[in-house]
Amino acid sequence: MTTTDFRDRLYELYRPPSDHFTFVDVPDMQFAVIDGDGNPEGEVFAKAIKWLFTTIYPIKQDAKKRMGKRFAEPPLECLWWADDMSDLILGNKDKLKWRLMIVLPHWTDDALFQQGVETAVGRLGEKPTTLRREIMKEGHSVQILHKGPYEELQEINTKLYRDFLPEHDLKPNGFHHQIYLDDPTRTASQKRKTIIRQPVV
Amino acid sequence: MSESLTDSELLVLGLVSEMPRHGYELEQIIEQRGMREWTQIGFSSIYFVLGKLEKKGLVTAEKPAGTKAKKSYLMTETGQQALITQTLSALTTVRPTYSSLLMGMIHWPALQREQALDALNQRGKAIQEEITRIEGIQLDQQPLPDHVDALFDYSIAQLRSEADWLQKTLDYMTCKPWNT
Repeated sequence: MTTTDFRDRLYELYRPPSDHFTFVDVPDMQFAVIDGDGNPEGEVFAKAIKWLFTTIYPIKQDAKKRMGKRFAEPPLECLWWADDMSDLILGNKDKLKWRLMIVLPHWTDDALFQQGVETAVGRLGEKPTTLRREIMKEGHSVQILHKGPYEELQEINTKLYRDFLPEHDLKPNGFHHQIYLDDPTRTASQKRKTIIRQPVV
Repeated sequence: MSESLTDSELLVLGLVSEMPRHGYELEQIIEQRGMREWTQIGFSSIYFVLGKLEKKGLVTAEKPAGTKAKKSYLMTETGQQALITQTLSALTTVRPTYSSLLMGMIHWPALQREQALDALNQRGKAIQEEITRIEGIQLDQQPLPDHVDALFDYSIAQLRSEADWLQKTLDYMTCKPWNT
């Protein structure tokens, strides 16, 4: 894969249009993953994010060395679901279940991942039981880029699940997926870019 | 107007440019990002600096309705221009910072052989400890944008460079014939 091919692929996956839904076929990718439930504004969610970024740090340093200029900073991603789907659409935060993820280089093996975990354990203490490396299979998906506050994601979700999917005779085929392209502590809310992605069938 | 900003003023202006912030938020950000590592700005100084930036027309204060609401600061157009100018200047200006080491080397002949070599050895150990400390902060601060990671890499690279110099110098001085 040439650098150009690689960049084009990254753009297809991580820079969709913001004015309309598009389709993308997501390849299998491996991720560092932590599961949880409950309000994402709580401490458990923030701590899980910290664990992920600390765990991937040595893996990221290794990737930077191997990839040089081709290296791109992986964003934080999160799968969202709920026992009752309307809780997801309506944004009832306490009812949500989540899976935080950061994509790993394809060459990451158990040894390299374990090195990352040990680094994180050394800094943060006892590791979350659900921290693991996992291959995510999404395949055919609908996605869109949102620019603005996270609160506005709700109306896009409504358009996606109540309008776009039924109009195109599609059904969800996997969890609701959000990709956070900006660090919210450094980016004003109106400038934040978030990808919404939904695997479909 | 091409007035120069102090490091503290430039730091605060940059943080306000990210998003509107009140003084206490600025204190939290400065603390969380470990910015006191490389700039002197106390908590009480933040309001002083904000006041100066406001006087210069680089930021403006807005106070939302409600008596207990905190005053929030926004960057102005003039502030945007000043931020760009000062940041470009900061990147391009090579401003040597003189280490106490230079004074030590100047007066090297005043020392006894063993105490001089021992002092350099101690410095070598202190440099390694400092590298480890900064690497720890860089890890603890994750996630960091590339440009901030690069900032940490810069500090570490400087220390490693000095460690290299020190090892070569120590080796040479150890082997060198010593007067008296």
